[in-house]
Amino acid sequence: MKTRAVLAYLLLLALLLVQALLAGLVKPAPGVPIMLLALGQALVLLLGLVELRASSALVRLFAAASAFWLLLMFSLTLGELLTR
Amino acid sequence: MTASEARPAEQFEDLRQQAEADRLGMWLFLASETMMFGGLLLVLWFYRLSHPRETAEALASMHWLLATGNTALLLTGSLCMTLALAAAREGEARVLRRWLWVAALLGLGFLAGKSVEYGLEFQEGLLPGNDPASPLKSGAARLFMNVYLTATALHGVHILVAVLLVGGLAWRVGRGNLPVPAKAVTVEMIALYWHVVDLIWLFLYPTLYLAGRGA
Repeated sequence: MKTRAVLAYLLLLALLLVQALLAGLVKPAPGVPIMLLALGQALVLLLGLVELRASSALVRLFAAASAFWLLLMFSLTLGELLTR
Repeated sequence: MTASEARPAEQFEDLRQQAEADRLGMWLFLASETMMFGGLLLVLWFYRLSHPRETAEALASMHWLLATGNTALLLTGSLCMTLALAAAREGEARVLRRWLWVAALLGLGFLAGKSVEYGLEFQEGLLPGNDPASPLKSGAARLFMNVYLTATALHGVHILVAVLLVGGLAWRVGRGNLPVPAKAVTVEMIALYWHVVDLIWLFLYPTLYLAGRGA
């Protein structure tokens, strides 16, 4: 648990550094790669530090349901703007 | 209370069943929190896509390096909470208390950094209330800053709650009022809260400071 947590933490810091470098060096800072890095950080946090994998199926279902709701809300709302 | 005296609440058969109910209830609460901040993030992205030039004007004024440092503080706090939980499960009360205090201090560091940032932004006229000094020309850019203030202040309140919970837990451990590993699930629930508040920031930070900067 401890080793995995420390590795996950180092990976999180590395991803943060890449994000900051992209924002500082590339003009304009590319939104899609920066947000994909954020998504990667979220997955590392959930799998490396929160132990979501070790939770019961019902707990994972709750977590997945909130993620599905966000996906639905973002895709249906921003879909209109992005396809104009 | 000692570890041997830790008993489940009367509606549960054993501590394991109680811990499972705690986890499920906590996830339900955290799912509602995620949905609330999800709505705010959606508003921010709707603004950004509807007014790209104006939000780029606002983004150019943000103190993004300060926010990057603050993000590192929160991530380090998450590591401390995971290590605190490991110590709780191993029954290492002293180690548990140490990690909890470090996490609480990191949370306070985040709040101090955010306060400095708000102070700078107010002086520069970026926040509501000091409009005459604002370098932002368009109304849409100022509106983006209003949503920025709402989102970060709400997140800051969550960090403050996390600091109080973690500090309270460390104090209870120090007084011997939290037997570990029997009550490690209490540490687990507060660690979960910390991680989700951290997770929300992982999306607020690039949305508010990084993506599209310098356009």
